Amino acid sequence: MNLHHILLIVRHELAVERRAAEVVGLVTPFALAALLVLPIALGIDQATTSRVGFAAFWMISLLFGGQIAWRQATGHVRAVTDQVRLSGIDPASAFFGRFLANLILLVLLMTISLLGTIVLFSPPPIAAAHWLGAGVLLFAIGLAVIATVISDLTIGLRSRGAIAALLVGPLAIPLVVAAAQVGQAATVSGQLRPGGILTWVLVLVLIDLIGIIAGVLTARPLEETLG
Amino acid sequence: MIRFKVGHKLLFGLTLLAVALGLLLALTAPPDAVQRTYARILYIHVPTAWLAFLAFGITALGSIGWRIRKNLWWDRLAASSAEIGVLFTGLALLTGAIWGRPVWGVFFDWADPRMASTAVMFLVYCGYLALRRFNVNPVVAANRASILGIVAVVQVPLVYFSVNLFRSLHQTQSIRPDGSTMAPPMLRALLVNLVAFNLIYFSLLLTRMILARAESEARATSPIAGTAVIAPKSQAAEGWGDA
Amino acid sequence: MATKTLLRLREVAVSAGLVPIVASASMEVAPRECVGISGPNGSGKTTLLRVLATLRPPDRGEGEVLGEALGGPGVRNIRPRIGLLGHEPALAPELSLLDNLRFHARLRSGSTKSAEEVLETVGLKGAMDRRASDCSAGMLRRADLARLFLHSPDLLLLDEPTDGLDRDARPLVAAAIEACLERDGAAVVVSHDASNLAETSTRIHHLDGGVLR
Repeated sequence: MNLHHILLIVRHELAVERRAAEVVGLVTPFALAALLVLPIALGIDQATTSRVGFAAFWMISLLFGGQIAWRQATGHVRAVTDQVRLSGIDPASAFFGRFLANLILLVLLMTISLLGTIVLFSPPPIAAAHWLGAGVLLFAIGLAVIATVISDLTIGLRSRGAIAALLVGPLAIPLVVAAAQVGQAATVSGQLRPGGILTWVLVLVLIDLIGIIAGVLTARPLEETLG
Repeated sequence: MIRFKVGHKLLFGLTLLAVALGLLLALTAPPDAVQRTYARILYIHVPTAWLAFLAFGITALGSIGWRIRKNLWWDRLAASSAEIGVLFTGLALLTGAIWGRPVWGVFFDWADPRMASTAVMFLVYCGYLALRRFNVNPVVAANRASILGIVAVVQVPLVYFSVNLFRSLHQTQSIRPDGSTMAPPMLRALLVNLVAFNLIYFSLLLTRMILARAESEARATSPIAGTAVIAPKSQAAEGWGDA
Repeated sequence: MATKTLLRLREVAVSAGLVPIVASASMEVAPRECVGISGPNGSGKTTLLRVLATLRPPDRGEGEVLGEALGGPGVRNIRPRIGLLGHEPALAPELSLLDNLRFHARLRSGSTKSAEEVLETVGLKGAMDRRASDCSAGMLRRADLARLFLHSPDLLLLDEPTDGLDRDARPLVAAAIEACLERDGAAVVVSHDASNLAETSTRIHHLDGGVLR
């Protein structure tokens, strides 16, 4: 893998996003709107909304975060993908660049959504913010890598968004299980046993590592499928 | 026209016999001491749950085979097993829900790692089949599906592991009769049904692979794609644009 | 030292899955040659061009491009020496023409010219800050051609290069081909209209019924 190539792809992806403003202008507001609808659907009962706050946050992060991956710049236009391939950039570097760009945008989405969750749901006070932060970051890494792999698997397909969503959801479930436990344990009312929360953090790290390795290893064979 | 060989017909015959015997033993086995007659669904649920995982494993095996050998036989194995796997996974979830409601009060126990991983596997299978279906080019479909097939086989045990960990740390485990010893007639019925369902799976797999090969052969005899385009008819000859 | 041929195909066949598109294609292209391939709509010209660009391997037959076997592991090494102009412009619709060309310049390290220079060459200096999605098809074609001037490919592969170009811009295609041939490179130009190929091509092959003649 080549750092220069990785940064080139990251830069291009973020440049396209800056112009298109799809994540900042569409996905994030839509995610916030979904967060707004949920307490209304629950009956605006403060105790209930407080209890489900973080659960809503992880669900919104999964459902809307995955969308970030299949809006990719270098995979969207086939001719651009061809030129990236012809440039000689190693497929693993191109994959890693796309993954990093997705991660940056996902962290942005999740940060804004977390703030929205705290404001709208008034979840239990956070006693261990560093653990929650670690959980958010590790969740974002895992989702970004899964979504990037799935995005590469579905290039050129009609109904790409629907198929990608169908594939990302179930594959990301271990992430949700682990991240939800980290989030809960980081609150005042959660279990603050260091052993407990550390175990879930390690589960997240394991999932992320497996995902990144799988993504890098499958980058070259996936490129062969482009035809 | 598809013709089955003698060996295939023997397999189908054996399958029918095993199913009949399994059904007979299931209906005549004594009811469970605690769950009474509800426990009979065990004779369908356990085999279908086993086959769901077997089919998934064979899909992964077929995916690895395609990646190494690039022979469409392996891809047909993976795809056929996935289709049958969706059926058995759905049946496993359905029978599990039917069994769970009267016995444990819930259709679906989220704290059970096996149920959770079966549900995830069902969705992954559906996504796998959708990926194959929306890729018109069968070679591209084989390439992409094989990667998903291999990636997913790592992910599903992760689901099992994470839910199992959740249960161990949170101690919300519901009591299950799985570890209990079974009376010999019940065990006999279960084992025969397990064999019968395995035979059903292999019969279906064989049939589906034969069908898939026939489909491929039909497509391979297609004419050159470009010959479908011919010169358009002359507008003057057709009288287009006449008042 | 120049190789004897830059491109060689022997009984190459290409399919889309199991549906055959090209049944048999054989040709050789030497340095300083520009070869045209004409054929009716749907005859497989673009598919064959993608094989020449090493973007997809042939399903049968053998071939070599710039000394590397088609479908072999070495094609990655020669890809940067190929300049491809496809049907669709290789431009992100959200970015300006300038930002797009800058990306392509960085993509191929060793670019001899800047993005501004090549856009000026193709007559798009006044539109370089315009978003690609706001440009006409002809403008996008010019910008895509400009991309070829960023570096010095040894093999130019052009798919319907004059499509959408006005009379002023058409000489750009001949200029790109000429520059490549002068460097002992070669070019393959594909068009549905053989008259488009007559001026620039050393010889013209015809692809019809899946066979390249």
